[in-house]
Amino acid sequence: MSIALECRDVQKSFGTVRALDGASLCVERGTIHGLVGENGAGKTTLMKVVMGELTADSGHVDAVARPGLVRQQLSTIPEFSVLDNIIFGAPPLRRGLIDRRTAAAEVRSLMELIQLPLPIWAEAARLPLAFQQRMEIVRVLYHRAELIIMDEPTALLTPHETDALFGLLRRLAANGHAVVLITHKLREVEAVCDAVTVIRRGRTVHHWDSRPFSATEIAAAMVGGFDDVGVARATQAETSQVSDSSVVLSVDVDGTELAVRAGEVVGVAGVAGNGQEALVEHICGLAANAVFGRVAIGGTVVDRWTTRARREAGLRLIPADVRQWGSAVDATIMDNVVTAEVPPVFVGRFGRLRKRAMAQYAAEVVAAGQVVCSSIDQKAGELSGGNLQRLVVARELASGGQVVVAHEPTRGVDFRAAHAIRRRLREFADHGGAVLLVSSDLDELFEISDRIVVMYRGAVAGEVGQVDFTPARLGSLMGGINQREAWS
Amino acid sequence: MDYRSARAMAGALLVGLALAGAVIAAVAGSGELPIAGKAFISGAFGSATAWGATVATAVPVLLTGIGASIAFRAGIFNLGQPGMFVAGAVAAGAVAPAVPGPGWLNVVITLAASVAIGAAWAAVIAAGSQITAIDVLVLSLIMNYLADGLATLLTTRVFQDPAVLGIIETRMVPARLPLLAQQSSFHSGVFLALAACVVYWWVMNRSRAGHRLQLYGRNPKFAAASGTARRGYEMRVTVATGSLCGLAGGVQVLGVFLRYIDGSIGGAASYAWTGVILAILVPLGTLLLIPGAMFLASLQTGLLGVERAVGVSSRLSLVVQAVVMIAVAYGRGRAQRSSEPNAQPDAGSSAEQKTVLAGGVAP
Repeated sequence: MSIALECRDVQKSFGTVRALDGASLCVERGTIHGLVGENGAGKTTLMKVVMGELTADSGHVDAVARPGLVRQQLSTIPEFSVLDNIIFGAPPLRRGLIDRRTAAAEVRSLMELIQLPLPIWAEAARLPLAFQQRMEIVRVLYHRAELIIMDEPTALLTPHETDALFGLLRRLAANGHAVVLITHKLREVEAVCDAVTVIRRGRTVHHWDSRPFSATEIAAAMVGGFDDVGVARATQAETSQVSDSSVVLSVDVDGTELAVRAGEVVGVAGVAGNGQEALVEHICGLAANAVFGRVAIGGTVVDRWTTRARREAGLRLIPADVRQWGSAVDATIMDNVVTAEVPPVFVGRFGRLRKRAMAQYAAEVVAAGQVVCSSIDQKAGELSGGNLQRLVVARELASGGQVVVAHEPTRGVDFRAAHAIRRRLREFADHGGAVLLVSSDLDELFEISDRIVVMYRGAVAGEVGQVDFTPARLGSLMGGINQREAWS
Repeated sequence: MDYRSARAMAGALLVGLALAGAVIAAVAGSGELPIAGKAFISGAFGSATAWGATVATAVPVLLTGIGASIAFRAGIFNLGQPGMFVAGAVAAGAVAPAVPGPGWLNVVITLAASVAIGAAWAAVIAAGSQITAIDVLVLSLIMNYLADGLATLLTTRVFQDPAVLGIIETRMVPARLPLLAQQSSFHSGVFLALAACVVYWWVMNRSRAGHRLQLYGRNPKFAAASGTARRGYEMRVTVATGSLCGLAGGVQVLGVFLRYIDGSIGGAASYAWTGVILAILVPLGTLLLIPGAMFLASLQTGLLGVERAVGVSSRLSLVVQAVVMIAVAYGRGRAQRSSEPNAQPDAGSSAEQKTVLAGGVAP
């Protein structure tokens, strides 16, 4: 078999961030090649380099076959016909006008070749999503692509549609095309791929040129090795003694009760997009429509409570995106500490603000969070990412909180700040608080959690106790494997 | 307010005045310019009557300006102030003749009705925007036309003064806001406007409500995560805007026209638009509102003087206002861009536009 794409030791940095740090990928014609890795591992960046959207800093990229990308967010023009969508960008012209008859003949023969009939005159918007996706595949083929890159193609498909798509990809491979399949679903890789490349932190860490490989092996390669588990964790004996009456937060996740007790850090793991974000919003009363069930804080059902009432009941939130949800970057640090809903202690008669008390409190929070700033009158947006994160963590852990929902609390934060934030979360639990730690960083989960719940497709795939904290175990649950087994 | 926006404002005023001068010179001849200048000054400030007219014009501008300013500060780009203004005026014209009692009580009840109807109109805008998911900017603008039309319809069909033929207007109000100077329109509504300014300043700078408004305007998502429920809060802010604009309508009827006269309050030349311009021109939350309103009012009364002296339409004031506003928005946008050199490039274009728009109205 001849080679369709070869990337060797590709490097790419954005400022100080190394997106690709020695990524290699070799795809042969006539094969389906799985490209897997955690979020932010560099898969998309590598594909952008292959497509020519980005230029690599160094390394060798040789796309022998012309590449074509089918994105996760389909780029369908809904008002156009299927045919016009397919030929968009390179339509056959006759005297300056689009020659649709020639185009239709060409597209029809292409569809026959891969046994994929589509109603070419229909309006694209009327097609189901799965058909729109197939239309995009025909489009890249029409544009003479021989290397088809599919980015998370099954995210929106039902199992049946997924099978149909895989059948199509098989036929494409049989016709001599090469397919790169980017996915988080390791079972699909196991089922359909001929070869697999695993990327971790911008570097190719493992690859199988041919079968056999198993989803479990891939999962282990994806998350990598871990050392010194449980650095800052409290002793296990303590946590196992707590009784059911000390449940501070409980949520009904698709029929399974997710409970967090006082003194406990419960981790929530899972590949991004399996419902973690919706869960956080649901708990805090910020979801537009409820996808999960009953929420209780301290034993009281709070389903119909506003976010404000939930906060008054002791709920605190460290959001994943602190710039968007956790701070107002144009406002001062003081304003960011007291927030839009000023606590009653800082309010005098007629709603007058007690600014001196506010300033004093803000200074205390800043000191406790070790936030580096010139004064509390500085704008929050002038703080570095790590410092802003520290500020938000310090504010949410400051006072009155019973349970903290920490969503990616150390994302984009340097090592030292991340360590400090984890220590503070652990201390919060050790002093009787409850922490729900939603994170995609397994190291972080292993370091401070008492147990880890894994989410897969909006449901609890399994729960893992401290003794079972291994990447392989978590990885297989995250990939949707061995659900039953993990429960036992 | 930093020196940059002060400089931008001064530059904008110069540009506006130069343009006005050029138009006058082109229409009436350059020899008329000194006469026009004198006529402007005497029209706006030349006598007690002129002062009275300018202040009386500034009153509705201030009240609607505060209303607009509250909405803008919360990041809600509601431009329904002219409609709320009309709603308040119609309410005053309809209620005042129907309510018995001593003069002062009549005035209080009438103004209360104006506030209530202005607030109700605003609530309809907010609820409509939330239910239909139509952008509040679009809906509120359309609702202004609806307000004008409904006002005409209601006045013709229900509240028309039977003694008057040919003019669509309500009956005369039995009691008015007392005049402060005879032979002028200088009425006591000015105290209401000044009181509103002081309360506005205090609330914005010293109170919990102002703090919440400010933080909500800076990041509504952060406010929501801190417990400010989005829908309810936007409704409250819009109702506050409507109350002030409704009050302005009532004051205008009880202080100037003494009845609701169709077409006198609404339309493209509505004082509520001048109020919106004031809210955009003046840094939010400062008492610069008062000189700002006096400036905009003097443009109108002064140019009326120019019209009498050299025959150039006083509609020129609209042109000058527009030019000043564009120049100020440009100056602020530039100041903001230069103060944020490393703005995130991947921020969506719509988000960026909104920032610039917000920058146009934020201090």
